[in-house]
Amino acid sequence: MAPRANTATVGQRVVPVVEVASMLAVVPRAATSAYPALTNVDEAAEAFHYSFTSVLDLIRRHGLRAGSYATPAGRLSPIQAQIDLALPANRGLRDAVIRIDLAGLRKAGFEIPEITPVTRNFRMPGGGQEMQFPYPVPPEFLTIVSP
Amino acid sequence: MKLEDVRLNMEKYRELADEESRFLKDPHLTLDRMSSRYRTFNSEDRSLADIVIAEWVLSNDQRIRFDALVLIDEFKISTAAAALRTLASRLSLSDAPGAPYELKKVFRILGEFSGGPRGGPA
Repeated sequence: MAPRANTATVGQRVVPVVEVASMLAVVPRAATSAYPALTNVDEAAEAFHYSFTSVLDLIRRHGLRAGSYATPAGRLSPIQAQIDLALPANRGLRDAVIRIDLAGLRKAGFEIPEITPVTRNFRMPGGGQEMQFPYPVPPEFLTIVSP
Repeated sequence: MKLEDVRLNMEKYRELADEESRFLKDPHLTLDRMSSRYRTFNSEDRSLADIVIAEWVLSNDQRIRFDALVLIDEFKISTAAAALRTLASRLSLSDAPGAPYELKKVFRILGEFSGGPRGGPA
């Protein structure tokens, strides 16, 4: 049986995502070599927004709402995104990934927000990197990567 | 409800939903909450809500405008057409980086109201 959206399978057990980090003694990525240093935003050509498939149509038509987060890491599994980006566990895993064309935004005159480390929140260790857009990101600069 | 009651109700509801969405790092949650709220209005209150949403279209706050455009698009609030045309005039004079893209969206919505071509005037 497939695990529910806010759970993960560990061995033969299905457990809430909030417990996974402590069970696995997850080490924040910033403390490992997976994210050796903060990405230089001036050199970043793309970033990725982790969201829910339920809002993809809205995002296709209207873009990302101001205040949306993104990360330079585009290959995080839903559960790794939950852990690295310190997302709340009680709302299900973010099962949609949207690529943001930072180079295009820059060329169009938008200021690209700084990239900062993700700190611990919602009992998730964080350790990833994030940026928050203070303006809506038009759909012209977005590509649905998955699903 | 009177128009002022609906206005205050919607502004407060949006503010609370926005606070929740910021806390949960999910900005689109506000739109989900606002759509659900709109669906609860009866036809009389809905016509008042449409007036408030048309007012939001002309807000200087792009976050409020964004939410208004989503609601107008989702619920096909054609009574907001005049406000959309005013917004289009403003945006066409703006040099903000996002203005051309918002303008394109406004034209698309207006075009869908009239059943005409999408993406703005020729």
